[in-house]
Amino acid sequence: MQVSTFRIGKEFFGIPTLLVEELFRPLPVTRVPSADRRIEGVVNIRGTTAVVLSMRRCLGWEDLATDLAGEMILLETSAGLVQEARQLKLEAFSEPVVLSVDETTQIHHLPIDRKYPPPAHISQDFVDGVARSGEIYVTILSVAKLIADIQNGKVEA
Amino acid sequence: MEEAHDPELLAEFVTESLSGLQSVEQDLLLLEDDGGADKDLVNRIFRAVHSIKGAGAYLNLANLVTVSHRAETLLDDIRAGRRTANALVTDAVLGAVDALTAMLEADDQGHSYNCLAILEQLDLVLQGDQQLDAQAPMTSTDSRNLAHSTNPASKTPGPADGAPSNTHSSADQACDLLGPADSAMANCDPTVLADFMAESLQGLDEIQHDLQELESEGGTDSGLVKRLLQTVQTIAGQAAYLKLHKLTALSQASQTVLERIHRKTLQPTHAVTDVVFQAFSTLRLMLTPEHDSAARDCASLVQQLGSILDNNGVPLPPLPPLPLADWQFLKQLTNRVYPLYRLFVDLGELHQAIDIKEGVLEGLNAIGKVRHASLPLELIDTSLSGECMLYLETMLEPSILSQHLHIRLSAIEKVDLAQQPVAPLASHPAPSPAAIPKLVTPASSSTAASAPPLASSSRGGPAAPTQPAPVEVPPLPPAAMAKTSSMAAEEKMPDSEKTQRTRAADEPTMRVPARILHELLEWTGNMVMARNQLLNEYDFRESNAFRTLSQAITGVHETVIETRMQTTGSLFERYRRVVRDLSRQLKKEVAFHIEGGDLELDRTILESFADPLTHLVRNCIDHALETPEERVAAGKNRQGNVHLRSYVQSGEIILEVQDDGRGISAEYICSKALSKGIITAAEANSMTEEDKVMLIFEAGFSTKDQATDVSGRGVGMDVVRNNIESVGGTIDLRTRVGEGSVFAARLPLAKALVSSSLTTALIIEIANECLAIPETAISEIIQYDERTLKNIRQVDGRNVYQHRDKIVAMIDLRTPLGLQQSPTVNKKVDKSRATHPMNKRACLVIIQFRDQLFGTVVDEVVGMQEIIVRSNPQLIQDCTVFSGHTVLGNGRISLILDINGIVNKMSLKFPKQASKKNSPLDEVEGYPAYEVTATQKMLVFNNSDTEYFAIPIELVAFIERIRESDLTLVGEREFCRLKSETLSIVRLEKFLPVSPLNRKLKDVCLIRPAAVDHPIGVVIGRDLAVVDVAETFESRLDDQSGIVGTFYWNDHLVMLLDLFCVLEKHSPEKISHRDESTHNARILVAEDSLFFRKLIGQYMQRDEWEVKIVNDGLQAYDELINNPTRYDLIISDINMPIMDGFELVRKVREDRRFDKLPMVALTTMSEEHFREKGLALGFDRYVIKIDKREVRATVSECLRIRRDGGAARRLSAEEN
Repeated sequence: MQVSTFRIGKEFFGIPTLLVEELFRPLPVTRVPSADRRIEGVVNIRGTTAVVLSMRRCLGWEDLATDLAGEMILLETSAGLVQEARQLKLEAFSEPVVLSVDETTQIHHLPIDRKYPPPAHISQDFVDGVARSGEIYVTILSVAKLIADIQNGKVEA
Repeated sequence: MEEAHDPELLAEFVTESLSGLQSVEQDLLLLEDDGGADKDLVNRIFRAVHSIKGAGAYLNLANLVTVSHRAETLLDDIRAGRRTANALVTDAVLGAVDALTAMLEADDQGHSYNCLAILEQLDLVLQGDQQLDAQAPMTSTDSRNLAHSTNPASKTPGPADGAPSNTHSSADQACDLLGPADSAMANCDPTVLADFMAESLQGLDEIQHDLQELESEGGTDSGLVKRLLQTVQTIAGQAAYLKLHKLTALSQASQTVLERIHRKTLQPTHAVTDVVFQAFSTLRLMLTPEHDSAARDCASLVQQLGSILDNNGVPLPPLPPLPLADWQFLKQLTNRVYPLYRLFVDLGELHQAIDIKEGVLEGLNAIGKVRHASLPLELIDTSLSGECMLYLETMLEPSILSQHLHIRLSAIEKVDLAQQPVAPLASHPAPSPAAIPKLVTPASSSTAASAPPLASSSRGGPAAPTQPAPVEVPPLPPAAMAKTSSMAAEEKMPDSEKTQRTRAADEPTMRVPARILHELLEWTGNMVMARNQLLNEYDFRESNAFRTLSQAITGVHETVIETRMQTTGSLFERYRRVVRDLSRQLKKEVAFHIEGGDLELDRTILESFADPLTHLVRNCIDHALETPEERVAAGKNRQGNVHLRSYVQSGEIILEVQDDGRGISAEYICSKALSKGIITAAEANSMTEEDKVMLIFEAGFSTKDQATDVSGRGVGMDVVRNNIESVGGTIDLRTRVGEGSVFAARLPLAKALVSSSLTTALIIEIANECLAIPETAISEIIQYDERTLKNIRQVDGRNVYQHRDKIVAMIDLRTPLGLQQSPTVNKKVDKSRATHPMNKRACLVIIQFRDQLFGTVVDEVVGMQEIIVRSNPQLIQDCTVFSGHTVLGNGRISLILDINGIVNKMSLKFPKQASKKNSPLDEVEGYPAYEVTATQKMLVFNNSDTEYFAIPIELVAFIERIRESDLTLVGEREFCRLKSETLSIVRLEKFLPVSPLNRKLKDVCLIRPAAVDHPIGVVIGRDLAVVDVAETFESRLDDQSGIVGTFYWNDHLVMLLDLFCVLEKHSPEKISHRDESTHNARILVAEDSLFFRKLIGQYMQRDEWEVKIVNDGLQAYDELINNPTRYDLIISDINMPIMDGFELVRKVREDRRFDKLPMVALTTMSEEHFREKGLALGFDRYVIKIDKREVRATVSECLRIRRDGGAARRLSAEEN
């Protein structure tokens, strides 16, 4: 399984590389007041409107000090996410979604059998498990679950 | 014939026909209104139906062709003036349109459609109206006959130049039906032709009545049949002489059938007479001008007639319905392998056909298995004649069976055991004539030999229907024709082609998957946005190429949007039919009005309104509108009115259904809701009228005892509401018993527009965020400066803004948007906001929500812009304060505010809309200019903790919260320094017999009365509210105590205060009457508000003055006309129901007698343009009704002018 990893604070997280469409420097985000707290706002990517999810907020972290720090990941929502959602028996979601993270790191090739179930203290559903790449522990996230949580108005733990 | 057609072609035909039918429906309704006077209209309808028929015939859609043909026949009659387009006729044609639509929409294009009912209806009209024709003057044919008789050579060939033009035209037409290109035809004299046609038509007209009786008589009246026969014989003979082959063929065929009926060898069943009718009307058609459709039908009719003979009078299609008993029996047979066929056979013939010694049964069992029969099986072989129904299980195709057994194909039917046969009555045979030719096979009937040559000529061919030779010949090579006919032919032929072609040119359509259009729309939206961004970044003013590109982008965008847009009118037009049909069905007279039908909305959104609107419209007619008798009894116009209108207001589109019927009784609805358990008695008690009426939309609500088959008032209203809410809209209802109701569906504009369409919005900036407010929601933008600030006051701890005569709530948009929490909020702005900073660019935006206003301060107004509206992504769709978003020139996204969402989020409560109080008719009847003030807005406040007082809000300049310590005591008097003024303080308890203000209060409120020149302030308690007071307050006799009346508010007794009385007592020197001495005078006052009536009454209270107060302008005018010399002065309010002040002064000034009568406008409408208008219309003075002193001074002055014979201004104006 190919996993794209990103960093938030000092921790590393990963999502399947198949779900990554594009990485880019942050664009100015229009905040959407009264929306779910995890939604940082909306951005205009070459004429397409995408919802930005703040991974920091999703994980219950504090916001970064400055707005334009970090990096953005545009998810591949047309096929990959739909497929994942289908596997998880979730409502298919195919609108453009961007994850805002502190920094993207390299793509790790992780053997599937090295993925451990999430440690007991983790309460978030969308944490799929933990994988090890050398000395680095990577928390594997399920984006489809995360989006479904937000869609259903489930508050973050 | 049976070849499969290109499915694309078929789809094209269906789409085109359906849209054609839609326009036909609308045209028909127009037609009904003008009774067929508009020839273009009739032609248009005719052409549309005709092209459906033509194409349908090409595609072998028999049912379609049959129905459209009959409809066309009717239309042709209208076109030729033989028939008026009365309700009966349009009913039938509309029915035909419905049937055609249903067929086209069916998967099989109507092959299995049961069109008997509609055919019967059409025939009924075709016959029924002919009866009318027979009595009433036959417009067209008669005039032709008349014209003909003016021709001296009526029987003998005469000079053609003497014949009137219409004789010519009939002659031309006649030549057109000459048929085969026989050289003998060339020398046919047109005059002879004309004579023949006129005579034949006359003959046909005479027997029309007989024709109808034929069926009911059942052929028993031999005289009747004989008359028919004679007429046809004459026509046939003459036509043959004139070598009019088509005509000959048809009339001969009809003649044969009639002969058979006459000889009683043929039973004139419905099936038979149907074809005969058809033949006769086609004959008529062929003999009249503009018959371009008739010739084509002729061939099929001849066939049909022939087939009647071939079948030896067996009704067509001859298969009686499958008997239920047989079906049940057959169903039990489980061991079937092959399809089961039902054969209707004549045993005698069958014996001949199956030349097998073993007998029929053996023969049949050789090719299959006889499962059942209407006779006992053993009898089949022994009976040598008689009819029998056989159930044969076989693998053979029906066509092979038909050949093998020598039975007609139509007598073979596949039995579908899965389907229970319909009750025999419903499937009573009545064939569709056009379907008959398909069934025809050469008959083996021996009686056919007695048939005339024509019929025999159609026999003996193979299974495929043969057409008689003369009919087959394509019409007329012009060269062989007489000159006139060739000209006619040349014009004729291309003409029908032309009409089809132009029709196609009018609206060529192309079917494109919606997805492609949607993508196109997205892309073009992006193009427009990208262009705007480019314009923002670079200066392209000099670039022609860019300008062209820009125009092209705009053009593309507009065009693409157009593909998705549809006018509300197109939706509304559909209801014309609903209204018409229903009102006829219910015997009500209804006028249907469409207003604002040019508003364009997204097709799909509009479509989602179709069902709710249908429901509302049906309800309107069924329940809301009374019968004409009831209406007359109620003093209304016989004809009820239903209005459908659409308009845009406050960023919402509004679709309204309005009626002027009974209205809905709140109490009735409430009691129903109680009985259904939707609300409890306690809830009911606390509900307002409006709330009660809205119960109609609750799920489960119904007024069952009232329901009909059409619609149940209340039943399903929750469905209406759900439908509208599912697209993001709301519905509300205004109603007044006896006057009618208005249902208004509202939808935010951003939701109603096509995604990616353009709209105008105000872009504002607040807390560093750009937001868009739909232009239609903006009432006003006011510079936020010192002067504005002065008008901002606090009521109940919240800011309000004195906006002209209204007090508007001010909201901080950052609260509903939660903007202050964001880390990027500029601290400086945040802090200064609390104290209303003098931000140079800040503006106060007055937003209108429905009819109400509220204000908000924004940091900056960026400007009005055309924006591309896009719907919000799913993940943020629950943010109801935004209805969508757009991309601004800088590439950033800006959210569009949904005013409705803001209002809900802030739980702003507006007093019930003023318009709700209005009669729903006001708008329609033309009173919309000014609001009717049925209620008075009052500021309610307390003095002591429990005693409440009220004054009209107009009397309040502002309210300020002060501390008790701010008051300075100087001797007996108190003063307060507020802003730059030092106000003299009034305490109510000093002048009125009321309890004193609680002295322990640290802070109190101060009212600064409006329209009082000297600084004065009234100290009051802290309990403040602005309430609407209906004019039901109790009045007290004016005892100069300063209390005008009382009313209840929230269980408090509220004293209505005469503030001026108090102020007068406080400082008599300042607010004294100072009245000049006046003389006796009679004053007429027009004022609708009870409060002001009392107030003015008090103002005017002087011994010398005799005051008469009336309720409105009309009453005042009537009073004045009745007593023209009585009054010395008229005082009028401006804003009044029925006749307002402007109208009153206009009418009074029109009358020369009142030239010198002084008129004073006394109003709360202080805007300058109203003042100007009032003075221009002839008021001598325009006074704001607040200041008693000014009012009295003005009145005195005006009276003085009159007394002095002054009116000099007016006089001098006249001299000029």
